[in-house]
Amino acid sequence: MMKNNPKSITASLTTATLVLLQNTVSDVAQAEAQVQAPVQAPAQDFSLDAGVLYYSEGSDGVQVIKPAVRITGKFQDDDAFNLLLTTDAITGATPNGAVVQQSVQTFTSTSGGTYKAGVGERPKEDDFSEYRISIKGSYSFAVSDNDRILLNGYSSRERDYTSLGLGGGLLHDFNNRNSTLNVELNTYLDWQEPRGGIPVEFTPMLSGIHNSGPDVRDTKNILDFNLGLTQILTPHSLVKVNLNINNSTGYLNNPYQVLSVLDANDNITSDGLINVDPAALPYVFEKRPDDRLRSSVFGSLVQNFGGDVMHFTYRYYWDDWQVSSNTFDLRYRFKLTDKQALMPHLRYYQQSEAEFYRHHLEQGVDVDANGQVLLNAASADYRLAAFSSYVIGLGYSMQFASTDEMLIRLEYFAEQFDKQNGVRADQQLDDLTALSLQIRYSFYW
Amino acid sequence: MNTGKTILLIGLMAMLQACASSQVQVWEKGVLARSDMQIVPDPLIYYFDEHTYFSREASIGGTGAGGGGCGCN
Repeated sequence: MMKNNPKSITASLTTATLVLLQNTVSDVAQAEAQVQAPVQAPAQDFSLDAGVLYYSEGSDGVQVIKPAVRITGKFQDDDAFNLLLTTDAITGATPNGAVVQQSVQTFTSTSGGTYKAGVGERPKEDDFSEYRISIKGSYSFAVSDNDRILLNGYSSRERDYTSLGLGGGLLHDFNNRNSTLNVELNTYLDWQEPRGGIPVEFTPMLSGIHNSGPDVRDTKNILDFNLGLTQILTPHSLVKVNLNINNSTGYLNNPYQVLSVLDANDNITSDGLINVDPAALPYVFEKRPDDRLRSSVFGSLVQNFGGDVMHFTYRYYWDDWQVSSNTFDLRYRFKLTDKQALMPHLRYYQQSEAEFYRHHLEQGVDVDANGQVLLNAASADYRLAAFSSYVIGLGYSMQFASTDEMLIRLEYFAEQFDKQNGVRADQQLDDLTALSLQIRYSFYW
Repeated sequence: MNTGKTILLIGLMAMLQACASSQVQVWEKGVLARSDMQIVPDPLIYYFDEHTYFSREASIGGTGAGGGGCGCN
């Protein structure tokens, strides 16, 4: 039988007080997780994550270096903020949508020069380089014991693209703070100013000048809505379901993407296009619909197994361009010691093709004798084709001093395109692989 | 109705049931407060991941750690 001595009562009260204090923070941490402002170390007020991403598709593909800094803070009145600053340096060659040929192909670059694709080579514009900076911030404050307001702002700038975003939302705790509902609405206004101007849709690429379009810029409006519910299941698990609806209107083309015009033998031909312009090359600029309604639902489960933690997410996506996709994402955190962890990652993704995705256009079928394209929309952008991909990754984290932490992570990507009916074997899309290295250092004060 | 939507509908129903029955007390939430137990446990790394996937795929939407306009796709 336990004795009621003063020391044990004091110890019990101290323990209870600490637990209550910790769990007050726990509730705040839960709320902030919904607004992507999780508390890295609940006992601290400010934290800084500094990281860099290096992404490579190999020597003849895209290379990206992306340094980023993320600062989060929480004030005494429970107001919280986070700020994300990033910059990207992108170089390398990107596929322009044209089809492989068993002859050398010549294209006009955005600057009016030329670039070539050799026999059997996938055409890529190889003088591609881009720099991008972005800033994203949010601020949240309590309006009652169970309600928080969230305000968001976003801006990014690159040579040919500018984006401005504003938005906000509400987080509501209920069910004894075991459930949190979040509603969020953000809007973006984007300006596109392509190098070489805006190409006129379905007109040919020209020899000597990239395109004949008179416009230099166009705009896109995006409205993004999120509705989510987070539920604590047990003291060691929680789940979140989320609905996202995203509507884009305006200029949705990729101004650098073309479609090859092929004859009945799958060789390039300008037979029709030269009636539009005598300088026509056998490629036409793509045309996409000017609106897109995209939806996704995801469910995410977080489960603690005696110190190890599993994150599993499934997402189903669909849109009115008839793309649908399934994504499975599994992350695990093996606790090696109190200060070290190993984090494997597996991801599987599969998508169907957009209804207007076309491998190429056929002269006499899709393009008439006068060079007019007979379709409402068409794009050969490989990202609108049907494919599946997987990611295998491994991370290692180590804690220094009291709270500083460093993470290093390597990921391998592989993308495999579905075989396309009626397309020659040598003209099928090549599979794509890439490596990503990420390093992050975090500290708190 | 396709398989994906069916799975999510079943998940949503199970979650609503959990809402009604789950009553984890405040003093039981110590583990849940840990940063590695958040839906987005590492926002910077998730941001790197989501931006990479977004630039290669036709889909968007997820944990929300990425987002924002970008000329990459």
